[in-house]
Amino acid sequence: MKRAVLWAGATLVALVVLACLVSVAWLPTDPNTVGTPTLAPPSADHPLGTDNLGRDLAARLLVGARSCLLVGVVAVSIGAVIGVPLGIIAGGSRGVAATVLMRGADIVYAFPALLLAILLAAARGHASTFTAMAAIGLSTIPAFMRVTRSAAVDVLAQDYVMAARGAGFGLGHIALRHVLPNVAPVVLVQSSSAFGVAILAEASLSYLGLGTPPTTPSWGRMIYEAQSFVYSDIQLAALPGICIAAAVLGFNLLGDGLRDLLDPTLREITR
Amino acid sequence: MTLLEARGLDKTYRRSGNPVRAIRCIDLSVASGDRLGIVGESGSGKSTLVRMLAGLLEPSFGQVLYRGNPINGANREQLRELRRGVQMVFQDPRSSLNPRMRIGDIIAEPLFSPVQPRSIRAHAVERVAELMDLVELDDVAPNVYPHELSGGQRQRVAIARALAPAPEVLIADEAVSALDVSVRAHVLNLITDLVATQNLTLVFVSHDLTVVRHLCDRMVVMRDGVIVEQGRTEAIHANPTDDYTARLLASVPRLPGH
Repeated sequence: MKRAVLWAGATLVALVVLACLVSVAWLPTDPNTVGTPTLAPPSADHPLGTDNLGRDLAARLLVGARSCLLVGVVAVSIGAVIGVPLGIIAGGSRGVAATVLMRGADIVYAFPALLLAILLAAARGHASTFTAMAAIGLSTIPAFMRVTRSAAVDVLAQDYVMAARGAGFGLGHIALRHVLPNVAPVVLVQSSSAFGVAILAEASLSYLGLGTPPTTPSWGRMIYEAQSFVYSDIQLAALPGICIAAAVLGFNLLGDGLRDLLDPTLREITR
Repeated sequence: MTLLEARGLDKTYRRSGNPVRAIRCIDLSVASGDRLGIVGESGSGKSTLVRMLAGLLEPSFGQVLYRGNPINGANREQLRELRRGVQMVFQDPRSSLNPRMRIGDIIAEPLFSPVQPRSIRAHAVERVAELMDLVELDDVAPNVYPHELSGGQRQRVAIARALAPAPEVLIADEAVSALDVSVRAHVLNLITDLVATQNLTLVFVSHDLTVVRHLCDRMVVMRDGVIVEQGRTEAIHANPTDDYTARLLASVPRLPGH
């Protein structure tokens, strides 16, 4: 059962990655070419039909996977690159420093990503994929900090850290050689879950017009553009919706599966 | 010559906001070549004391001196001397060996410490082989992970790591308590041999009086953070002056006829 969750997640994620790779190598037609027929049913030329502007739906979905993965990778990278070191520092700190770091994380955690995206868009003068990625990335930092800190506190209490201190090593060496490799599994699991959250957030921001610009196909924006045709041509909104759901579900299942695989305490329970 | 000295050592922890005085005003000295046993029941403060002696824990009051220099407020060179000269072996090798490092890297790690001369690094591979030989791990490959070894082998890895910087003081904190009885004797004999061949000064913490009698020529008995008795091991065994020591000695199980 545990492995089934992992495999289901990995398969869905692999499909999204495959769609992204296919879109780089091959597309049925240009995803932005406007023409006729509009709102066409599936045909040899347009495997999934066309939208209200005559753009190929299959091509737009494939290219949409790129935006989805790009935002996920960049947002999770921002969250991990900033959140993991801060979490390790917080785990090794005592007193005021630890309190300041973790309460700072609470403040960022309480700040909605949507508001952050609006602020960033306002500061740059326009909304873009970059502002969406930055807003989502910044908002995932506290979650990375929390899980890393919790794992780092456990690692720092181990005798091998005491032995390293006794051998004369400083905090830098201990963080890189001992803490980081041992918190890596929880960071990996968190990354996978955060990826799902980032995809959903990007879709929401694009739907609201605060994410990917109209010239770049994105699943969230495709749903927004299909709103007027939802009663007549449901596939225009349903297909990108299914893609978003599959991607989010895939990354969440992958995260759960990895956690079960990498957490020895959970492994013991299932035996 | 006195290598390690505790003067009026005191340690208070905070547990759930309440102060817990783990060590109370302890004076102790360890001379070169000593084999000192520290015994006492769980919670008597043995581990806290030796961690302060190794400079791994700050005392609340009092001082630890290494070669006559206080550890607190020691300059960089004095601290280097301490880190090179005093090494510890911990109780449970499962938590004292990083599960994500190969045993060769674990043993070699202290050689790459900033307190060691850089020249030592060039010979790290040879030194690891020499140490593995010394702790009788010559039949184990250095590229295996700790979980692939038995408990006794893991503790030998921990001993090899402690010996890597060629320390003069080896502090063993319940180093055989987590091991199976059958393995315990082997590791104890190994420590006895190493102390003799490597000219080590030994501080051996244990709650097992038999082990301390086998290994140490001097012993200290601790209870509730206080030293209740200290002296020659055989003298204390023959004639304990403190009630608690007498009760501890009486609690050692004996086989009929022994």
